[in-house]
Amino acid sequence: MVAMAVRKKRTKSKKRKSKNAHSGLFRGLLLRVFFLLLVAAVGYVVYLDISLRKHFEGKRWALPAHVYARPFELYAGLGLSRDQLVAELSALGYRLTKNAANAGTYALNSRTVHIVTRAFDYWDGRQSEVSLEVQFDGERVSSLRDRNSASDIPVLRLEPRLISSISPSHHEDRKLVQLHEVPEDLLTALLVTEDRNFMSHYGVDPRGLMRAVVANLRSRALVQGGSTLTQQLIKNMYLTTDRTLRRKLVEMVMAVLLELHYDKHEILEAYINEVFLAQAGKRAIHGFGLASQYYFGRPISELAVHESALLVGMVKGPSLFEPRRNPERALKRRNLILETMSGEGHIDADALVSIKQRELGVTPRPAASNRYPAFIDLVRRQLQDEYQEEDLRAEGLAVFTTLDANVQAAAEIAVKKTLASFEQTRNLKSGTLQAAVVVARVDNGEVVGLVGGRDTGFGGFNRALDAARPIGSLVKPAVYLTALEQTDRFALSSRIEDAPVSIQQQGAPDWQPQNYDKLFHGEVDLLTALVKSYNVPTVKLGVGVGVENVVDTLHRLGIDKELNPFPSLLLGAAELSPLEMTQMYQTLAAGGFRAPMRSILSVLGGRNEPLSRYALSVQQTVDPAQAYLIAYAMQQVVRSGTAKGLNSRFDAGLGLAGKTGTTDGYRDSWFAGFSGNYVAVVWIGRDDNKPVGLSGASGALQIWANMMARMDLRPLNPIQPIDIEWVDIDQQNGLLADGGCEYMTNMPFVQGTAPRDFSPCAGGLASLDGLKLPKLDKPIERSDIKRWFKNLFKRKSNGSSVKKNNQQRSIEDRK
Amino acid sequence: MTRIHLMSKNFQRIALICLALVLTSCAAPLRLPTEEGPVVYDSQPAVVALLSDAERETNAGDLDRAAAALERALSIDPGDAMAWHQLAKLRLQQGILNEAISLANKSTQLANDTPALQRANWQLIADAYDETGDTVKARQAREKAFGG
Repeated sequence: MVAMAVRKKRTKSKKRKSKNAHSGLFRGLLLRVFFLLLVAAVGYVVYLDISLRKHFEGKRWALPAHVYARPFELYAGLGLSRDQLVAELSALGYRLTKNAANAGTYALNSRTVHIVTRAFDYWDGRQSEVSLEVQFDGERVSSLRDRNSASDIPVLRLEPRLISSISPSHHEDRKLVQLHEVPEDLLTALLVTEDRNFMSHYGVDPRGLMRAVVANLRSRALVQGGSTLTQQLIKNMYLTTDRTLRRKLVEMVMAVLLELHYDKHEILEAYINEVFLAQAGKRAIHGFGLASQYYFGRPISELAVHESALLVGMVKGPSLFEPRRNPERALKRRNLILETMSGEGHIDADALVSIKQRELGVTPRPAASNRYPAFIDLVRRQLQDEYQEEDLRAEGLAVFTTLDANVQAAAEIAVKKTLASFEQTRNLKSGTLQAAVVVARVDNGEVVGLVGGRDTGFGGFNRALDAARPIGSLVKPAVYLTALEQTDRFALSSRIEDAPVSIQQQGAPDWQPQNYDKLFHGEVDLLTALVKSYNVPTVKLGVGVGVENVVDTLHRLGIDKELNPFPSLLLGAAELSPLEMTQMYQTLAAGGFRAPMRSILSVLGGRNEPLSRYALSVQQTVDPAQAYLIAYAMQQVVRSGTAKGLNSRFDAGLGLAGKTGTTDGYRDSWFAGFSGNYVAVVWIGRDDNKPVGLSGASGALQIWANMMARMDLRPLNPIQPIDIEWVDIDQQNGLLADGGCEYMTNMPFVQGTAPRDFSPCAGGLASLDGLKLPKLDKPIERSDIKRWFKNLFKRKSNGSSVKKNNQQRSIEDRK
Repeated sequence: MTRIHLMSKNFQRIALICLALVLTSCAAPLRLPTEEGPVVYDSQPAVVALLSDAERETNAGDLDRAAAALERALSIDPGDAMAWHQLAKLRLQQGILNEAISLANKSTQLANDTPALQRANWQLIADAYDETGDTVKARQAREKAFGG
């Protein structure tokens, strides 16, 4: 038919030629126009060719940065139950099988789990697939063995969970795969469905086209494309989606050009990575690699034939055959593909019957691609120092973070449940309370969990980083630390008067600080004042040691922000974020060794080349002895002070330490605390800064407790520095005590700073009213020889510095 | 539990210098602990494996990878004084002196049961102060290292 049409045309033109034979001018013109058109056409083709090659050979796609949680470290001795391991495996999309033969599968036996791990590229190189036997002893991993070599493995990482993609601005997300990773079944299904002559045609397939034309004519509509995979690729990569003839022609020309330059494997691989397969909110899922993760939660290499067929079936209509929304239609389409495969001899008839019986097997809809927007916000801010926004969106980076998905889940649940219950029990309007949480590892400052607001799936205002709120009593450990650092003046037993005081301030009216309970408690020691969070003694102490010194302490603890050295700072007027507070408490929790809060471990480039590493950095900024005293005091806060509510929730053996904080009119409720392994800060308040009616103990502490109860805590056993000694003290007067004293307590002191005088109950010579401090430097005289000896030894063991008692003069003297 | 042996290069260096001093002037200011052998420390097997990875990387000249292995070890057992010491040593090699000192102090804190490791830390701190030019602190640290 085509040949006849051409012949007809020729005869027509012959006639025309003879008609116009006399007009050489016209013919010449025609020839020139024809020539010009030809040149233009050739030029256009060359132009197409150049741009096509330039794009195809360069970076074909803007690849999103993929952000990963911290990889799970497996090792003998790890506290982990079999169930916890299985939970982690299923979160990673590992499949339970009978024998665990392939990567991404596991099998369960009574006391062991067999796993075949997936290979993964880390910053320090590739970890290959390992066939692993994990043995348990109760709640503990007792051994790890390589099943192939039967040798022990000391430590092994499970690949990290993908927690976010930082997508290009057009929201195309993809995960590049290489052809060898793609299962044979998927390729077969793709070719028999979309382009059976792919391996033999030159970019366009006249036979396929003809079939499409016939089908379209029959139904008088464009029902079939007849495009080859090459054409589809060209269309997706270079052209618009409008169905014009011109576009179709350009598409065909370019397809042929593409085939001229590149082999079938390259074209097929590009197609597999290019094709659009799903829409998840704003995010467009491109490529079979990402689609496999999106629908099955597993890498493409692990797909079975029916799963491959499902994905291939979706090429024709990603929305029409969406398996989660339209499971029946998707199933029909999948089975049609399987039948086609069988018809072509790729699946035998018996197998087909059982394969068709299989369920779709898609996972529930994965949580949004950005499950942890608040944490990712922190990651992006920390990345910004080294990477441009467009690098993050286009270079296919792999970002390894410090997030622990289990801790994060604990924090999110605690925030949601606790706030909801507060609103319910206190008859508050639902949704008015807000909260923020930061959890970090004590020794290295790694942020393992971060909540920026109660709607954890929504980005928006990140309160953990950006809410600058008065920190209230959370500042107090810094005040007492500053005092304890002045070892010639203060120890935990030093006495302060808790009585009305008026503080003069520059350019402001005098200030009369009040205690939380509006009472004054007479003379108290430093330890009690901190444990009970008394305001008045704290202000006196802070003014006595110098507010500017307290500011210096706060900076050493890790607060970078400029702080005004006003007395109001001593009760926490400084407005700081939960993240800044976590930094401060990390330094205290780690015995004075500050490790900057960090959320990133390392970054790999698009070809898995190591780009940057965010090294652990540790600076000793507080002497371990004073840090030890403060940690001890903060443990007392939990044992008997403002945070004693934790006692009913946690084993006393954990030795948790903490500090409550409440601001004026109950606007902010804070709690900061730590176990041996985690330091966490919780804030509750309202965005409009109205009162929430919660104290630190009744509010933030509850979230903290609900969260920590879901975490794997290690006991806090602060290491006692060599220059710390324990001394019995009479709580009534801060003097040395012995068995004869009713209110005796054992307290830690930096060597040489303990009181040297005995309380009357221990035979000491304190003045008659018992509470007044002994006169300074008064020689101790006592007829009781035994006491005399005892005193002598005590003094010797304390370094016998007579200057010592100066410090016991309470700071009233300095007012 | 597995045992790790640490041959302190710093110690060897100091020993050599001191020996030279003794030979030349007979006025060595420091007492040499003669029977001080390799430092022995109990680490858990996972940490031991990572420390030996780190050692291998250090020998291959890849200090960043060595640091990454040490950080992994510390994330598994933050109480391992040997891992902190090794990280301190690495920082000293990298010329990050303040941090080397902090890390060695941290290791010393944790090594209450291992005086030999504490001494190795003091030696390291002395070396670091030497490089900062703070001879007073270097001498103080060295005295602690050798004074036991």
